[in-house]
Amino acid sequence: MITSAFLNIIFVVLSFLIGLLPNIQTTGAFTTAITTASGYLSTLYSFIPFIVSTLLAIIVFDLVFESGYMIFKVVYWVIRRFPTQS
Amino acid sequence: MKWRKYQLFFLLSVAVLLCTFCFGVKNSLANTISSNGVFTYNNTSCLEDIGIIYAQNSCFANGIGCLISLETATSTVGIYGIASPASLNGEMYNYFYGTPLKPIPVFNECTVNLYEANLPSGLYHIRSFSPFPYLFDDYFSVTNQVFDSTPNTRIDSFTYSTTTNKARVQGYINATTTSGITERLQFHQFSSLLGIESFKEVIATTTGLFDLSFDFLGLPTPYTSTTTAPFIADTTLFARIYQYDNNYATDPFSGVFDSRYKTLLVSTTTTITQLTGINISTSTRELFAYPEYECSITSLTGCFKNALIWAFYPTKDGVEQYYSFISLIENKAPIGYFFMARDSIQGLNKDGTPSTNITIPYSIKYYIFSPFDIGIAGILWFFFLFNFYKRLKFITI
Repeated sequence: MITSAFLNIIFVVLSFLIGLLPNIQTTGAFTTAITTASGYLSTLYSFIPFIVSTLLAIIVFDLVFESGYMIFKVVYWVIRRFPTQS
Repeated sequence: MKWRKYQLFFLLSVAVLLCTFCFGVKNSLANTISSNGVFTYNNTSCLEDIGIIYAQNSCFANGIGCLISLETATSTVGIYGIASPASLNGEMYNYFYGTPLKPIPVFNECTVNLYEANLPSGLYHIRSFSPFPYLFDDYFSVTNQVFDSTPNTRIDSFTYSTTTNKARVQGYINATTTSGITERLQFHQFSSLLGIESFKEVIATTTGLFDLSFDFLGLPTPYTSTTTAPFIADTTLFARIYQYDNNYATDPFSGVFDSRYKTLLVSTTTTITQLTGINISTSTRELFAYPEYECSITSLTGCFKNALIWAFYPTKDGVEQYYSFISLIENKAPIGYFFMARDSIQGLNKDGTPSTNITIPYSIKYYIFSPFDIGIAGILWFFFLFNFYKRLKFITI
């Protein structure tokens, strides 16, 4: 009961705060854009597969690498905020 | 002048007779489609007798490629293929006009697999690219029967009945004539409660379609209806066709199993889910039930356990709030857009439906686009590695 009450309080508060944010616009335009891009990608892939694969691999690698580096820097910055004895 | 007219008439007559003769000879070499859907020119030296290949043989020599069109006797179906000059035994490259159909694999210069081409029924015409197509053209017919008798080992249907507790497997199996090699259909059922049961094996003795039934056990049900323990009652039926090769088997000295002994050819499964009884859960969240121990004068430990559980064990409703909260976040800006982008990007793939069909002759692709593709991709990788190295130099930890 204690754990349930604790979870209940947390989620009620968080849900109230999150509920203040505006709803996302689900017009489907983004999905349509991705589907269209997928069609173009398939067209290109049919006759230049290596170039398409290379570009996608480089983009994905860059995104993953830079995201990981940014997260590392943020976590490192937060850790440094904690006071130490030294 | 008169003599020249007769001479012209004479030459034309000879030409007509020659064409008629050749056309007749061609028809006498009428080829048929075997029951397995493979169309093979009925001679071993098709390069000489089949005009389409013979006429294009010089193309192979020149590295240009050979154009093959398939069309009905009255209208063009719209399938064109180019046989690779470098891979006579490889897959024929195809590009399509109109309705896209599956590519036509060419196993050698004489054989076309019509089953895999998935051509509709009708009379087809292999047209040569020569200046005298009639001398070399050939016709063949395709019937639906062709597509029903592929020799590939397969399982067409896998059904079951919970009233008779029988599973029915239909398909095609090959009885190989090679010594020590057999194809075997194996059936069994598996449940997390009882493991593997009802194992049966049928060794193929004849090649052809099969229709077999196997008994399986009904779903286990609780003995009492008062249990509070949640359980999942389902069982999965498996039908698999293996190829066994006794030439390998298990090493008699070391006892090590040789993976070449047993090759899985076809596999299919179906799950029977029939929930009966009470407190039956189908998901992990549902399994978050409230445990309760016996509490009496003879088992006071259970009372203490129940007290601690009441105090600290989160109820199912408490856990459910977490999932509700996640659903709420997914529908709120700005985090919701991240989830939307993630779901959409997961649908991004190179195998989607192309927005436009760009058809390139094989020879152009083989000699121009492929080297260009590989070359540019190599340059891109080089630049990527170069710039990534420069980026690493500015990384500070």
